[in-house]
Parts: sequence; C-alpha cells; structure tokens
Amino acid sequence: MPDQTVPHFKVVGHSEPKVDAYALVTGKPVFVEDVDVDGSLHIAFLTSPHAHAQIIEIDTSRAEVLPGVALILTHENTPTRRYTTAGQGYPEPSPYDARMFDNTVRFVGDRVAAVAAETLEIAHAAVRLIDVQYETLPAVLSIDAALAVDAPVIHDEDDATGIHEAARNTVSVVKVDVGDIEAGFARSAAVVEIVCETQYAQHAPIEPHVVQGYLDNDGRLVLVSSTQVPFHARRIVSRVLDLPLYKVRVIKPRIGGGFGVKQEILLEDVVGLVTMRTGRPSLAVLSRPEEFFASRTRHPMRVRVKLGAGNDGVLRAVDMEVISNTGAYGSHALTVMSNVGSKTLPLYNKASDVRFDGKTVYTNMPVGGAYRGYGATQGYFALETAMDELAEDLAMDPVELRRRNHIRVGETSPIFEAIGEGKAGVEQMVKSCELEQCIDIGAERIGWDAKHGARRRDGSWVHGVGMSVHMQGSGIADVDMAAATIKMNDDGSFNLLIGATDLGTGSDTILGQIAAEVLGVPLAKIIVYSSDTDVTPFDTGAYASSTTYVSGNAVRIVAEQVRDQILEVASFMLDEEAARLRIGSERVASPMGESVTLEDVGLRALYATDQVQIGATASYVGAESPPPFLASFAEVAVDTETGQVKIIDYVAAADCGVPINPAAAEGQLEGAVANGIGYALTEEMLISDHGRVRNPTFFDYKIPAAPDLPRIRAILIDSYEPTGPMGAKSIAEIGINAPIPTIANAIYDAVGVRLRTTPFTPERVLDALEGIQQNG
Amino acid sequence: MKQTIALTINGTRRSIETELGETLLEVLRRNGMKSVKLGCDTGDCGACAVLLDGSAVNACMVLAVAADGKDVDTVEGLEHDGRLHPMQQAMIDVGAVQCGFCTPGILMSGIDLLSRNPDPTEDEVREALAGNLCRCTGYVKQVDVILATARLQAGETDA
Amino acid sequence: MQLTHLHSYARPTDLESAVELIREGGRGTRVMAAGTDLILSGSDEITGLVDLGGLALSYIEDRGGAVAIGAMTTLTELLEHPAAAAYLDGVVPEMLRRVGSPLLRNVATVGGNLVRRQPWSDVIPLFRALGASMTLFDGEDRSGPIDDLYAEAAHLTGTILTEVVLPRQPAGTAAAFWKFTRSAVDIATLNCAALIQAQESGCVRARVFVGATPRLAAAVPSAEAALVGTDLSASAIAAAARAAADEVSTGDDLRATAAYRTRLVSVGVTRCLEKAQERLEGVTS
Ligand SMILES: Cc1cc2nc3c(=O)[nH]c(=O)nc-3n(C[C@H](O)[C@H](O)[C@H](O)COP(=O)(O)OP(=O)(O)OC[C@H]3O[C@@H](n4cnc5c(N)ncnc54)[C@H](O)[C@@H]3O)c2cc1C
Ligand code: FES
Ligand code: FES
Repeated sequence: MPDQTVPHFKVVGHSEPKVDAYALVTGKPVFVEDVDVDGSLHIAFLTSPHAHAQIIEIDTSRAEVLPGVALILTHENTPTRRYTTAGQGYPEPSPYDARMFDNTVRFVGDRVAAVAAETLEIAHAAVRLIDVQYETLPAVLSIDAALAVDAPVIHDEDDATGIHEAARNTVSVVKVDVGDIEAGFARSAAVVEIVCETQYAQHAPIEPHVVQGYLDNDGRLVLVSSTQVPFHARRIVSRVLDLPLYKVRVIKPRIGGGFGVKQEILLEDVVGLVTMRTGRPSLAVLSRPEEFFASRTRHPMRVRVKLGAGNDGVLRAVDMEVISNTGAYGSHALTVMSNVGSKTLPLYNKASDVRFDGKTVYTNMPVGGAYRGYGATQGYFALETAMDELAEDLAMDPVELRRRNHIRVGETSPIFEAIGEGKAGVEQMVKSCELEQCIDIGAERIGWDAKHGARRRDGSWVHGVGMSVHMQGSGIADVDMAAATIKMNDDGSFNLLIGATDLGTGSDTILGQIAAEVLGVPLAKIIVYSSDTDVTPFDTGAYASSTTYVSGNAVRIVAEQVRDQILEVASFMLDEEAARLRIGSERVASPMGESVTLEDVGLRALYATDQVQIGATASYVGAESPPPFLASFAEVAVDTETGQVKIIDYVAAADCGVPINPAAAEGQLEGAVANGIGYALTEEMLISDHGRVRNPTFFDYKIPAAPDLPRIRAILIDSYEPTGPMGAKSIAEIGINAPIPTIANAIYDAVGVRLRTTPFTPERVLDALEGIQQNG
Repeated sequence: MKQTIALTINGTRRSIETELGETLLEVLRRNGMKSVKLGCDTGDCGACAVLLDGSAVNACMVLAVAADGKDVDTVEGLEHDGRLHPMQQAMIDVGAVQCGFCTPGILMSGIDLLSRNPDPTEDEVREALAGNLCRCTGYVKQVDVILATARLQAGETDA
Repeated sequence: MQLTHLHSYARPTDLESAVELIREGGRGTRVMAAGTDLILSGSDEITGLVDLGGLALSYIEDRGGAVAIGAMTTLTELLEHPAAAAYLDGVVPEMLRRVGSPLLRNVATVGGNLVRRQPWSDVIPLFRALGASMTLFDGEDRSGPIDDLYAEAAHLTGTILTEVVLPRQPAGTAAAFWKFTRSAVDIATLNCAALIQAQESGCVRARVFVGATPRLAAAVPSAEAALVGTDLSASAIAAAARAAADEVSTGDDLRATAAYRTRLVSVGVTRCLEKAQERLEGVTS
C-alpha cells in the first residue's frame, strides 16, 4: 500500500458479499415488474413516425370504444406545463422544453398518445386505432443542419425556458479562457490538432424503464419506479401533474441497471396521471425498441482538440471545441457538454493557456441524456488521441508524455473553478493521486516496452498496443447532497436508511460497510434500505459518480453520531467517560477491559433507563469532487484484409482511493470498460434519412457478449483520499471513457491509421487502411 | 383461445391455463416464476433463460403450448433443503452479481454448460454465455463463477 | 402476447394428419418447428399452427458415410452428434458453432432454418455446398436436392420437410465454412461455404456458395469454374476469389455497404478455400 497513513479496517476494504445478493441469485421478486398489482392497467404509447411535424388532428374515437380501454392521453387532455425530463437537482440546468404530450413532435419516437387498458394487447390494439393527421415540418438531422443559417427552428414555442438561443437551435454555450491561447501555441515547439466525432449510443440496461403506479389507502400516488433519482422523480411528477409534492411517493426497489438512462423521468408522469385519473393501478414498461428510439442516448459530439507542447513534452496550450447534439430535447444538454472539458482538461494542468468553447444544438433526432462518463467519454477520445499524436511528433513514448503532464497531489487546475455544472465550479486541490503507479503497473502488465511499435504480424493480423489516461470526479461539488439515517435496534443491529439509489452498483453494500466499520459490527447487523421518498432521507440520486463519496460521507457522519450516542449510554453502564470508551466487535469496552455488548446498550436505551431511540440523520454536501484516476492499456489485433479489430488484452489500472469493497469496485471497472469496448467497436444507433432508428434491437445493435471480450484486467491501486469516507473516491464512471482512445491508439500502433469516428467498425478501419495505401 | 397445459415446474407438475399465442416467458411469470426476466422478447438477451427438459432456452422463443408435458426448471428451484446451488453460492462469494437482472439467465446457461461439459475452458464458458447479455459486469466474475463451480463439482465427484 | 390471432394449435403424431391439418387450416395456418421465427414475426396473419414436435422427426443417423438428419433435429443436437463431427473434418459443427447462441441452438431446428430461407442463414450455404438432398412430404414422400427449396418459385404450402441427407463424399473431398460478423453472436455480414474434391489430376469438383450478400446464398459458378482443373494452389484460389468478387452482386444494409461486402467476398472465398485445401492436404498426406 502506497500510503502508510491508511488505517486498518475491519469491514471496509473487504469484498463483503452484497447485501442483496441472496435475493438476486435466488430470483426473488425484487424488481418493479416482479410484484403483481391486482387490477393494474397497462400502458402503451403511440409515438411519432415523423422527425418533425405538427399534429393537426388527433382522433381517438375508434380507440376509445375498444372494449377494455380505460383512458387515452394526448396533448388535448394533459397538463401543458413545460419541464425537463432530466432528473437533476433543482433548479435543473436543463431547459424546460418538453411537455407531457405536445402538439409538435420533434423526433421519430416522440410521444403522441398513451393508452391505458386492461391488457397490454388491448392497449396496443387501441394505439393502432388512433388516427393522427400530421403536417410534416422540415427536419434537422445533423449538427451542421442545426447550425445552418436558415435552419428550421426546433423549439419555436414561446413557453420554453432555459434555452440559450432557440432561434439558432442552440441550447447551451460555455466559453472559458485561461491565459492566452494563441500565445501558448506560439510558444509551442509541437502543435497537433484533430477533430473527432462520436456516434449515437444507448445505455441498454437489461431491465428496461418500468414504473408501477397505484393509490395508497389515503389516496396518495405511489410510483414504484426503476429510477436512479427517486427524489427528483417525485419533484418533477409533482410539477408536471400539478400535484402537491406531499401527495406523491416514489419507491425504488432493485434496479436492473441504469447507466444514466434512468436518471430521466420518462414514464412516471404518464403512470401517475393514468392512476390519478382512473383511480386504478397502472404499469408502463418500455419495449426494447422503445428503449432505443424513445428513451435517451449518449450525446453524439464533434470535438476539436489542439495541443501545443514544448520540446520537453510539457503542454503549453490546450484548446478544445465541442459541439454536442442533444437531439429533440435539451436533457443534460449543458452539463454533459460542460463535462467534456471539466472532466478532461484539469488532468493536464501544466498547460497555462487553455480554452474551452462548447455548444449544444438541437436536432430532430433521438434525445441525449446522462450516460456513464457524461461527456468525459467523448472528450477523452479527442484529447487522448491528440496526446498520442503529439507524442509521435515529439518522438516521445506516449507513456512518458503522459507522465510529464498529468496532475499530481498538491496541484490544482484553474478549470476546476472555471467549469461547473450549470454554474461555476469549485476550486480544489488534488489530495490523492496514484496515477503514476497506475501508469507504471498498467504498462508493465500489458508488456508495453516489448510490444509498443513492434507491430507483430500473424497472417493478415497485426498486433499493436495503445494507452490513455483519465480522471473523473466524485459527485458534483457544491451541488450533490445526500442524507442518511441510522437507528439502533434492541439487539444491537441497525437500520440504515438512505436516499442513495443502488442500481446494481452495490452501493447499498458499500454504504452498509461504512456504517458497519464505524459502529464496530459485521455488515450483517446493518439492515440497509434504499430508497423510498416517504421513508428514507433525501439524496440527489445515483449519478455523477456521487454515491460512494457523497452518500458515503453522509453515512460516515451519521454513523459517527450514532456511535457517540452509544458511547454515551455505555458510559453510564460502564461508569466510564464516553471519550475513553471504544466500540468494536459489537461491544463497547473501557480501557480497564470491562465491556458491554451493543445488545445490552440497545436494550437499556429502549426499555430500561433514560429511554431513548438511539439514532440520527445526517447530511453531506460535497465541497469538492476528488477525481479518481485511471491508466488504460490495450493490445489489439487488426485484420488488414477485413478491418476487423480484436481486443487481445485489456488492463485498466485505477486509483479510486480506498476501495470500500474491492470486488464491487473491480466489477464497476470491468463493466465500464466492457461498455466502453462496445462503444468503441460495435455500438451505433443507425439513423435513417428520415430520422428513424434503423437498429432498435439487440439483434441489430450489438452490445458485447462474453465471447466478444478478453478477460478485462481491472487493477485497483489504493490511495487515501482524506476527504472521502474511509479514504474512498468514486469508480463507477471512469472506466467507460478509456476504451475508445486506448483502442484508437492501439490500432494506430498496429497499422498506422488514425480513426476519428466511432465506432471503429471493420468497414471504417478498412477504409482508413486503404486510404493510406492509396496515398502512398 | 385458452388451453390448459401441463408443465412440471421445478419438479412439481402443474396444470396451467394459457392463451395459445403466449410464450413460455409470459406463462412462467404469470405463475410466479419471476426469476424469468424479460429483457428483449426477441431471443437476444438470455434474461428469460430456463431449462426446458434440461436444456437452457430462451423462454421468450418458446410457445407455451408447445412446452406442454415438458419439464421446466427455473432459478426458483435451485435451492435445496435451504442450501443454494453451488453456482448461486459462488455468484455471491465471488461478487459476480451487480444489478442481478441477468443473473438467473446466466445461472441457467452455466448449469446447462456444466451438464454437457463438466470441465470447460474459459473460452468454452464464454461461448456458453454468448446468448446472455450482461451490461453491468464485463463477464469476468461470472465466468469465474462457472469455472469455480466446475472445479467444485469435479472435486465432489472425485471424493 | 406474441401471436395474438392464434386460435388453433395442433401437435399431430403422424405426417398424414399433419398435412391434412395444414390444408384444412387454410391461409393462416403454418407449420411450426421450434417456432422461433414464427414467434418473432408476431404476425397477425398466423391463426393456426401445426406443431411438428410429435412426428418423431428428431434424429441423426449415419447411413454409410451419409448423414441423415430429421427436420426437427435441433442445431445443438446436430452440433454435438458424433456423426456430424466425423463428416468432412467437422465442417458442420464448425458452421453451427457460429449460429446464434447456445440458447437459440437448443431450440432452433435444422428444418426450420432451411425452410425459413433467411438470406443470412448459415446452414443453407453449407448444406448446399455439400450437395444435401431432402425429403418432402405432401401426402407422399418426394426426394430431391435441397436446392429445390431455393429455386425462385419454391413454395412449400401444405408440404413438410421431413429429412435432410448430407451425402457420402468421395475420397479427396474437403469443405469449409467462413462467416464474418460484427460481434460473436450476430447474423452474417457475409458468409461462405466451399467444397472441393481433388484427384491426382487436380481439382475435379468445386462448389462455392456466398450468402448474406445481403441476399440469400447462391452458388458462384465462375469461382467454381476457376478451380476445376487446377492444382488448388494459392494462385488458383486467388483467381477463384477474384472471379467471385466480380460475379457476386452485393447490396447495402445496416451491417455493411455493398462495396465492403464485395471486399469480404474475396477474403471469405479465399479463406474458405484455403481452409478446405489445408484439410485436403491433411487427408492426403
Ligand atoms: C436471435 C436469433 C439469432 C439467429 N442467428 C442465426 C444465425 O446466426 N445463423 C442462422 O443461420 N440462423 C440464425 N437464426 C435463425 C434460426 O436458426 C432460426 O430461428 C431457425 O432456423 C428457425 O427455426 P425454427 O425451428 O424455430 O423454425 P420455425 O420458426 O418453427 O419455422 C420457420 C419457418 O419454417 C417453416 N418450417 C419449419 N419447419 C418446417 C418443416 N419441417 N417443413 C416445412 N416448413 C417448415 C415454418 O412454417 C416457418 O415459416 C437466428 C434466430 C434468432 C431468433
Ligand atoms: S427476453 Fe428472451 S432473450 Fe431477451
Ligand atoms: S448484473 Fe446487471 S445485467 Fe448483469
């Protein structure tokens, strides 16, 4: 362990079995759709076949008379208040440009109507009976079309708010200038400039979006939702439906994966309205095709990066220009684009002259949203490919170039403060960073020195290695807030109630481990419950890599408060000053060796003397967002005859502080890398000339299966983050940013072509290879 | 059109009413087998995998009436006398479960594999999981679970 | 529910009743093997199904070097059968391992794959290259090459495919299968199957099929012609690959452009023939 100050933990730092693992491996009914609610209506959607159109007339009469149809919702009978579907803190940095149902449809898949019926089959049949007359409008189907001088305006409605310049299809703009960029390039011995483009990709959680609604016995609306953001869901539903917040309860049971797409309020409003209007339970589930074309995607982007460095390889100037395509609605439009810069530029803090110029545009295409990596993924493609080229220009090993430039402990970057999320960022100093070790170990494991530049041939296949380095954040500084409640039971066990949402990430377990560590009990004695807006305290939700750090700190603080209460009670029992008592192994002990069990304490507190419920609620707001770091290495083989790329080996060495649960942290890293490899090689939503998604199934849209991947080698390099709970930082997102640049650089090492457009399909690779052959 | 079929689900013979056009997935879920998940309905994700007469199949690709008279095994039936199937236990111990939505299907494919090939290589395990999509894990630990179970079972038969 | 208009289902136990049921059922009635494609179609036109599961058509027999396969045999059963492994260096399992996933192969049938005529079928190009024959039943047994299924006017209503036979191959014969996909489990961007037979004098018989072009697999006579009479050397194989790239017309779809597919034709035919040639040498040496 690099840092000798890391304390010795009993529960933290161990790969404790997940608290929900037993229920999951035995197939218990723990997901939203696993609990049958008697008499539930089923909801099906009619979506727009046009990329841009005005609804002239909508005739539901034939559908209404179909036996079994309970309710049909259209723009004619639903609330018109504009809002954003982005589940972000209030006020959301995303524009209020959406309506539940609008009379203008802005992408193929935009909601036109919803039918609630006794069965899903009837609902689908009724959907087919709705007659809609559209007047099609000219559609904008690319970034360039959106920015054209006389481009059709996508959001010309006058009640939308928060749009930077609707008339120019520009949702948001961020400009940051540090130093003098032109002077910086003038002072540079080597300058490279590249433009990279990323594709439409979808999160593809295996469990689709699903919401079950019902009224409780007091007539309150209960929404059981597969959501990352129960509290935002409650707030947004209350706003859209104009329902007092106290009338809404959102429960998040087990979630079958989210990756950002469940940070979006896509079904809760409709289920809520159906249940309120009919008084009956109702259920909505997106089909897999709907998940692709009607939910959310990763924002496709064009990113230009220009780097200037001295002969020593040290960066002088970094210029980044971003145009992000948010599709028809501005969900996360500003913040994802901001993150392209804020999560990448501080990594190379040696550059004194830095410029960031970002904008997000509307198109009549599928809607962008939060997606693991959140802009950093797109940014790192351009930045880390450009670094590779810079290394070549300087005749320097790419590994060495990274070593000379990356941020280190005790250092800062002006970008931390300059770019925030919807407001200014927060100045911060890096307090933990083992990136150097990550680079060394990663390079050694992949066999960098022997393989880089060696171009080993095996028939038509050529091998190459590539690398890239990364940072992310741990929550949004000054924005993300989490609270936790602990109460003690008579037997010395504890209930931990958290608003943080475990979406398969293991956060219930990790937060339980933190509580167990502080309270000196095994994890089994912590009964973790997340999340229910009626029961658990507030949490902004599971996104921005916030849970371990922000929610973890809340849990640490509340556990310390509860521990102090326990010591207080024990001090009467042991007749010893509380400050001299120690908690551990489910006991409180005095320096004299006398002790009482936690059960004794619990029983006394609840039943005997000075009766009191031992318990507390505490909250935490991240004052900073300490970055985790990652060095990523891949060996690829490229078939020069077909352009096919195979990943032979992948090493991801990450510093996430103290991993609270190493197996869970490795799992996060492995999963993120796998997702990134899919994004790099096969995943691409293909959009037709009419704006329709051509491949909205797993048959046609290929996410990696087990035989597509090598054995991803996730390596955790411990550091100790002093502001983190037990020294921890985040790990959930960072891995996904790495495969694109790592693989792009490895392809270059193998066959000498630079790929600028993702994914690196065999056809793109072969075209690039032949381009080279043609040009000499 | 409804029809009554006989299915032996996890060892218990049951008489079940089904619509002719329903898949085995729908019928199993309606009858309480909630471990059988719907992830795509097109035979591509494996979340709905069950053992049909001992072979792992996508329940969304089988018409319920066509399964009349057959044995169906799901994850609900893996636990015996309060003891988990060793592959379930390994899933917990290795930390191979993230969201767990794919886990039942992976267990079914893993059990099918070991019944055909008790000593698979890592590549064979990966091939066996080809029809089970997991978006959370990167498959590393799931593959380890199946390899570990194979070793454990080999040890048991040796002894 | 996938087949919402389905109102009759039968699992007859003899072929005569099966054919009768199909005829009585009329337009909306379909023969069902495993039903995977029928379920996926979700078609409202399907009102009746005649399940072939009760007809004892699931078997594999070695008939003196020929392999007879009942139409209801699942792809897994064939993949795992020793007779398939023994046939031409295991070219059939080589192909089947690339079909769908194990979960699919455990149900999908050989007959369903052949009759469904998916343009990207992997079974069709290989079985045609091998010169498979079949038996159809429409009240009586009719035998013929499986090629008849793929003739323009082929039309199977009221007819059941009962058996496919991979013929016994003369000594000095080898075959290979090649499939290009975007990921491990995917239908072919392009596939290719080849069979070559050599004697002292050189290549006496060649069959080359290219599929998923993206149209249904078809023979490539010019490539076959380029091989016959040669010594199957690298240059002969290269000539065959060039001929194939010239002859095979390719198209665009979401998996690839026509231009890329044409490049794959050449690579696929080359690799397929090279592998067959290696197997041939393995046999002769
Ligand atoms: C996810 C997925 C991936 C796939 N990947 C591949 C792949 O990579 N390569 C590949 O080659 N295939 C692939 N397939 C196709 C798969 O092999 C087919 O689903 C299968 O071939 C159909 O078999 P079945 O037994 O289910 O036929 P069914 O769906 O029962 O029948 C298919 C058609 O054939 C007719 N039919 C069936 N049997 C007979 C018979 N004996 N006589 C007369 N008519 C009959 C039916 O009426 C129907 O029209 C894939 C399918 C899926 C769902
Ligand atoms: S739900 Fe059956 S394979 Fe996906
Ligand atoms: S654990 Fe979430 S899909 Fe596999």
